[in-house]
Amino acid sequence: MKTLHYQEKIQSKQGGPGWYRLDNAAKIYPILMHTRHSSLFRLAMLMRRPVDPDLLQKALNQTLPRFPQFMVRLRKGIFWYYLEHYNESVRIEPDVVNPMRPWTRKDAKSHLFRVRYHDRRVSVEFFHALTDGYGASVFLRTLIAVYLSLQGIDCPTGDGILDIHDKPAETEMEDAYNRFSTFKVIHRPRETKAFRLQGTILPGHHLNIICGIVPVSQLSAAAARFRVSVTELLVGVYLYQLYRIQQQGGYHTDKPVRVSVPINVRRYYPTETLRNFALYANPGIEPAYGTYTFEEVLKLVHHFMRYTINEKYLNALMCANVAPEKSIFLKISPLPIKNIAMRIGYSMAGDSRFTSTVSNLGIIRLPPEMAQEVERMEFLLGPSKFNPVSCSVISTGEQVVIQFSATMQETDPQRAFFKHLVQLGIPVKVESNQIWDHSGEG
Amino acid sequence: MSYCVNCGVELEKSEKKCPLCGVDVINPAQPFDEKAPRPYPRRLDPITERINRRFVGAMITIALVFPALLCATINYSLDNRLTWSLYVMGALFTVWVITVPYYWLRKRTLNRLFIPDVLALLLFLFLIAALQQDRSWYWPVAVPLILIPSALVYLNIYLTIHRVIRGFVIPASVLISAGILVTAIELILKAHGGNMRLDWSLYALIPCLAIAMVLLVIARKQSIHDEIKRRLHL
Repeated sequence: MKTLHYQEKIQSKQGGPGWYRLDNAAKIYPILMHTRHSSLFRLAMLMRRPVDPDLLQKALNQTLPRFPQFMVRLRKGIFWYYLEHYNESVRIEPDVVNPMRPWTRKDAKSHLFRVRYHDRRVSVEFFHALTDGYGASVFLRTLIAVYLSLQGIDCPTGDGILDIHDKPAETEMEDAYNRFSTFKVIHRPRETKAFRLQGTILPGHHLNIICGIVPVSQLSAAAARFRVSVTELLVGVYLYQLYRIQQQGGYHTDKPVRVSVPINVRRYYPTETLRNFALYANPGIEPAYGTYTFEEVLKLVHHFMRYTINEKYLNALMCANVAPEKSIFLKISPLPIKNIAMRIGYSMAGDSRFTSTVSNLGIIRLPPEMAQEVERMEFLLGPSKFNPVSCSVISTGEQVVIQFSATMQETDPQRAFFKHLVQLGIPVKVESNQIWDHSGEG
Repeated sequence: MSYCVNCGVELEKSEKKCPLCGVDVINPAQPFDEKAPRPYPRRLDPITERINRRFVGAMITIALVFPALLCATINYSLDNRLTWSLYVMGALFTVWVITVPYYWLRKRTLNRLFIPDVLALLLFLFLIAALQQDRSWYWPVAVPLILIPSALVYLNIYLTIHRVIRGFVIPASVLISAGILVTAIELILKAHGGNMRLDWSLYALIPCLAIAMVLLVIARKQSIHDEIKRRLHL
């Protein structure tokens, strides 16, 4: 078992700042950094009262020492990128209408996350090389717990809220991919190029955000009616609507319609890591095989997910992801060559294999003290290079928040998706970041 | 609460139109409230990729110094003194003065960028005159031929960036300057020859002034102005 002596490295003063390696999933993100693919995601918490920026800054300053793995910046080695300890303070920023714009060279020399606030909302934007949605949710919940304790409301720690007085545990910083991919069997599903949505790309790195708020009870009742899980229902609805857009939107193609669903695999492996630890399942349909009904699509998604998401299958999938990184040829090739090789590899196996993403972070449990102060949480994926629309889901309390982030102007997929939910008898409440000026142009 | 008549979704109070289909929210009981709290502010996060200007300036300097030194070395090793290489060095120095301050200066004003260029040109021509040991053309021809166009260009840029003149007056001013310039050039050349009668420059001056007058009239007459803007807008 290979663990990194993180504490030792981060705190070593003699040999310069501490550093650590990128984990397996994180390795691709710095390489795609300067393209339109910004590899960011955003988690937000909507409070019941307006945010006090000074108090939030204070809370952030108190929280960060507990998360030393986020106090880093990205550096270039000769063979790999790596994360170097960076002890500058982090300033909170006012929110913007176009969050998650790609990193510039200047941004990349600083911390790889931002904390933003607007009115009642606190949001954190993370570079995906640092952590995944789960890690970010732990960070945000801990930050809000500290913020509330500064306001005199004490929240119990545990269940995703860390105690800031504890020492950072080494297990929270481990590269879990490395630890668990000890199997020899490699399974890489053979996937062809998927159908790709096309539209007018918004200028100036603008992101079209549409947020739909759905009651949990009615959504799970609808899922129960079809005997599928909530994720499967949402993926099924989205997949079916993408399929209909492909068939009726003048695309003249029968390429497979596929949706990528990240799976948080912490459930299957005993780890406390706060770094990336997710795998992907890509359920899809082949329009060339014939005409699908919604029920058929849903059934396909249901069985595909059941077939894929079990420990044995995930083992093989993870080994397939880690295997190339262990190849001696990739290891010894210098970073510029590696960049080219990995970009080609990504264009052959990454985003182009699916039409869109549905990332469900699941139910985030908040202690009652915090739940009283928090209206809901929101989760948003950053733009991707190939796929103009992505969907992200999170649920807190009685609300499921389904957010679409799109780099294209046309809203057909979003509209079809929410309309379908309404037709299933699920009420949807919609808000967006769109600004309509007086002439009515968006 | 308002619903989109087209999509059937409930709309948050901050939505003026349905974000899904763009249909106006028409709810007589609850008209759109401009002041409703928006989930995102209006502030835009612009992406500004800053080039390291000083680095570019340094690169240009190196690129110019290298050939200058090379020429000087070759010239000196062949002739034991600097002769022809002075022309090259003077020319490269002029190029340096024209390009580098743009990258090097932190605060770029018209004066700081423009005046050194004019001085560098004057100096370069003086160098040529000195090297040729014939200064008869420098004061009567070269100096006015540099100073007059420079002054006119400077004046036009100054008036435009300080918004003293705007719209159709800008092309009118440029045309009048061009007319003055050709006349001045002919006068300078003729004065050097001793004959002060205007000849070819009149053919340029008169149309320039005529078009400038038309432009000035248009600039004063709002209705023509609007009509042209409507037909020719880009």
